[in-house]
Amino acid sequence: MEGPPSFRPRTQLLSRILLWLWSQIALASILVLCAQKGLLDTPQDLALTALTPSINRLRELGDWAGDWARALWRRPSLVEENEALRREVERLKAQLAAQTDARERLQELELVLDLRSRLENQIVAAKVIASHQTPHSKVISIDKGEEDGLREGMTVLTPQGSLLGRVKQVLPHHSWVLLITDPRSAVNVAVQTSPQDSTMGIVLGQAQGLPTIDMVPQDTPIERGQLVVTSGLGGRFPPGILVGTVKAVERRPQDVFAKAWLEPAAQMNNLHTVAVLVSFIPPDLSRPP
Amino acid sequence: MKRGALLVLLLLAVPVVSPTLAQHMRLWNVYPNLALILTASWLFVWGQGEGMILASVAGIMADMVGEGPLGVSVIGLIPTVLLGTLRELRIMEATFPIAIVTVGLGTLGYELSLVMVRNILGEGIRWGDAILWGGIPALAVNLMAFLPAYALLLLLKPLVAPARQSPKLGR
Repeated sequence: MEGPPSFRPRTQLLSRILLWLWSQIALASILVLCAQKGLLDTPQDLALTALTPSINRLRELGDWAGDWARALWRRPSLVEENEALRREVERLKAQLAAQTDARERLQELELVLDLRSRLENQIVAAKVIASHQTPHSKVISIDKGEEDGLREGMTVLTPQGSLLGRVKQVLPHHSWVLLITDPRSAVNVAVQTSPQDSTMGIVLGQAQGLPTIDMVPQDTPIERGQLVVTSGLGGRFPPGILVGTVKAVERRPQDVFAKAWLEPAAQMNNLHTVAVLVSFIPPDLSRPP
Repeated sequence: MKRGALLVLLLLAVPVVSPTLAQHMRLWNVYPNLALILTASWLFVWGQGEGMILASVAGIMADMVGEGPLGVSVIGLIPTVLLGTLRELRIMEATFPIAIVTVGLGTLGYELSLVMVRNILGEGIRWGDAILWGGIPALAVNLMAFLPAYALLLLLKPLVAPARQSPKLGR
């Protein structure tokens, strides 16, 4: 007679799985709740501090191997690119020579107004530890945190000064930066349609492809190649920071707004150093004044 | 002892390799989920019991360097371990097809769990985008990364845990 004995292993397996499932959900819930309350910030910060040297070494190794692989793969196009870059350097040198005089005058004025020292104090340079870029999350972690003066919401720039994103979460010695390409990111921008005129829009990160510029009226003369800078509306980012250029525009008669795509000025895939604008703290709009 | 050392080494590799070398293995904008691959490979090489414990530790290790709240990956790895029980039920003799199904569906389960938890926390991730641009490419990438990882563990198995000699019967 086949009866209960043959079912016993399956019953045992089922009860073991249920017990494990319950404990797993309980463990995860406790961890998520503690993390939300900030109770795990210090252990996480310590773990990151301990792992950072190994991460940095592997990152350098990966970059080196990646560069070699790319160089081998793209050898023919690199020759053309090299030629184009040489021409570009020549053009920029000529431009630089013409601007030297103006720069000297600007330096004199900065010295008089003590602007330089004030500007230098506004920025904290940070090293990128890790990059996590998946379709629904595009963030980087940096080696500066609360003890270096960083706060949630602060603006993060590339060393060249274009917009990268904002500080999402701060630990004592590390922070996470939400990039402008992340689907959760929204930046109020002004598209410079002419030297005297600009139009407002919102840059939204996408799960796939380039960020879009939304809420641009159909009749606006927005075109490929126009500069996009932060507008300062909403108070989340200071105005006038370069975000990128218009990559493409689509106008459909049935739509109220034109749709445009942004080519970010910052290279998101190869970041090593970033600058955090510590002097600009965005207002907390979630709470009443 | 050797197996324990290997496990510790692989667990330490999860938070270090994920944001560095794994980023260079990016395909369709996604990179291999090392915590999931390690859990699934270990589960099919050394059994479900060890896979169950490993899922919790690997999940926490992965979240250590991730931006999501700590514990999200622990939930994300639940479907992989649950699907791994198909092997224990012995619905078919061959392990490999079950392993492939486990990694594929486990990846989709991981991505959906991640989006669910993040949406509960108010992050507003779109389900359609997450499945189309996240889940499906991740399924293919994880399967591609799982095959060498599983083969490597199978090769290492006799080295780190030699089979016990059966007792000699008779004289």
